[in-house]
Amino acid sequence: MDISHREELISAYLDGELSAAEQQQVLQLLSEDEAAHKLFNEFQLLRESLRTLPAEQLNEDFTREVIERVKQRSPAPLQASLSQEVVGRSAETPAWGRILLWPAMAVAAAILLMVFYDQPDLSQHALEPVGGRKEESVARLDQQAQQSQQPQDEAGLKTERPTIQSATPSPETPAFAREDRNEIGPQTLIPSKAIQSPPRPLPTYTFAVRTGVDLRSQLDRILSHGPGREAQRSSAAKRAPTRTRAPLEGLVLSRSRQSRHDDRSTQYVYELEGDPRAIERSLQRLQSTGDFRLVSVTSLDPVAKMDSSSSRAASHSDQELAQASKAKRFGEKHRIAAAAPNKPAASADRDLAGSPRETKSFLELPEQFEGKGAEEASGAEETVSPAKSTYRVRLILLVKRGQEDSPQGQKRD
Amino acid sequence: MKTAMPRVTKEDLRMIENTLAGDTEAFGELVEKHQNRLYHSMLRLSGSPEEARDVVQDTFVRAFVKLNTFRGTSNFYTWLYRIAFNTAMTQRRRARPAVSLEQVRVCGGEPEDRGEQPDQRLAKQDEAEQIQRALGALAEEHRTVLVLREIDDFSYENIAQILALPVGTVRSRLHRARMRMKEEIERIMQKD
Repeated sequence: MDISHREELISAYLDGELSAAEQQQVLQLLSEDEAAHKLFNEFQLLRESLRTLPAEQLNEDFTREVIERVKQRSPAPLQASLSQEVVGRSAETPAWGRILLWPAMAVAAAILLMVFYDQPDLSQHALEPVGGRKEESVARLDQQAQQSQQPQDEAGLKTERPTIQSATPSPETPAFAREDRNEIGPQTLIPSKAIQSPPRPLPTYTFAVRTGVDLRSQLDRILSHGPGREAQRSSAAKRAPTRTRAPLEGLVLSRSRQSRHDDRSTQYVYELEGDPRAIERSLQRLQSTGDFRLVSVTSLDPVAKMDSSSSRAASHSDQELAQASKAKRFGEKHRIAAAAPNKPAASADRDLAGSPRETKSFLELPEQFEGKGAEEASGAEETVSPAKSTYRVRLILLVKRGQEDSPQGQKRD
Repeated sequence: MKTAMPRVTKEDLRMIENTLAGDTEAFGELVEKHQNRLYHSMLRLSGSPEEARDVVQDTFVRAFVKLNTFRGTSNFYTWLYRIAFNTAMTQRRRARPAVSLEQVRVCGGEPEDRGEQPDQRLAKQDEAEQIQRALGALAEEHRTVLVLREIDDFSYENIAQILALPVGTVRSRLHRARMRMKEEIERIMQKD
């Protein structure tokens, strides 16, 4: 060992940054070599000298001066974030920023479109983009809904009619579906007064999973994108629902699929976008089906501020948006139930086998959302159209391979 | 091996959240909490109280503007320090130091009074001046790594993050910095 290396080891030993083997080496060196021991002591003295240098302090005015400078800054962090990441343009965004932003967003939109159209044949079932063919698809789906007889599902829950995107919500339509139909989607996304902006350039489609179809269909709907698969959709529609499952609603932005070799399951990762309350309820219902395990949910970011039609809602909206931004900023992950993505195979299988699921809050929603949810659960009539933020959410689902590969929900094994 | 610094503390998290929600006073709390530590460190790096003060002030303003990019995956002070370090380097490139770091006095307030006799206090002040002069005589790369380790107590991993260097380089550079510092102190003591 050369001298320089020995000295470096002693220096790192002082810092506690050695591996166990290296530590042993240094300890032996220090006990045998006087020069090494002397150097160690000198390093220690040096440390002490540096650490006992008088602590310097700034005067009391310093904080005030910083705050004054900060207050002159506009936009505030939150506004800046919204203008750049969410809306694309705001009053505070300088002209050059807009010029730079639009080409970038256009490229992003093009990429997303390519991805959407490139999807394999996963859209075999009723999958309805909000734009374009909305009325047609609504009529067809409503017709299908009429044909199904609201059977009881395995859990004894009353079947919800497969109503999606109908122009006038029927009393049978679940409350969350009514809300989302009216308020989510590119056509209904109205910029608030606070954020005067053009429509978001992302090609967003609202997909609502019809009830009463098998798991694969549900997943396929979540995974599939893009219009132009009418034939597949109508054939899927013929495979009438035999069993009720909860709808999962949201704008699907991306998905990926990864087989897990250690067990008989596949992991899906989706990015959804939508009203957090609707997503929340959907997740709870999906969790309760027991066919797959929701491993984790990540709140990515709030993506837009929806229109509000009342002052109460508007006043809540700003707070909601501010609070919602926190999730993004700290990349908060909310683990679901006990399983982690790298959970051992056997354990994951047990979870997939489906004991009654614990229902808990998946998204860390602002209090206003939670309060609202409670109101709705107790059947209180909604008189105010709520202001909303949309959330972008990443879901990681673990699906039993047997179920996933089996059409119509018939398990192979 | 030393573990990395813990992630953002609950207290910092609360203040950051409130700031992002529009509460400027919460940012004031953040400033108050970290300003002196950062100033002390910047002073040791630059040797000039004025320069250090400017750097710290600019750092907090930049931090406010960029606060929404803070992901909470690192300690807030580490994040802040990175901004401060970059700010200091930019300022130094713009204007070379007007004061020689070797000449600089041990700036700032009085040494802490721990019930010491005046002559003890004086001796301590002399020693502190010698240390500061030795520190100022080091090459910037050595001074930086030494301040990060000894004054701020950052782990090698954090230092590597801040300086954008491999951990192995941090280790060897720190060793060379200590050796050089030792030589400088010896030189100054002989001179005095």
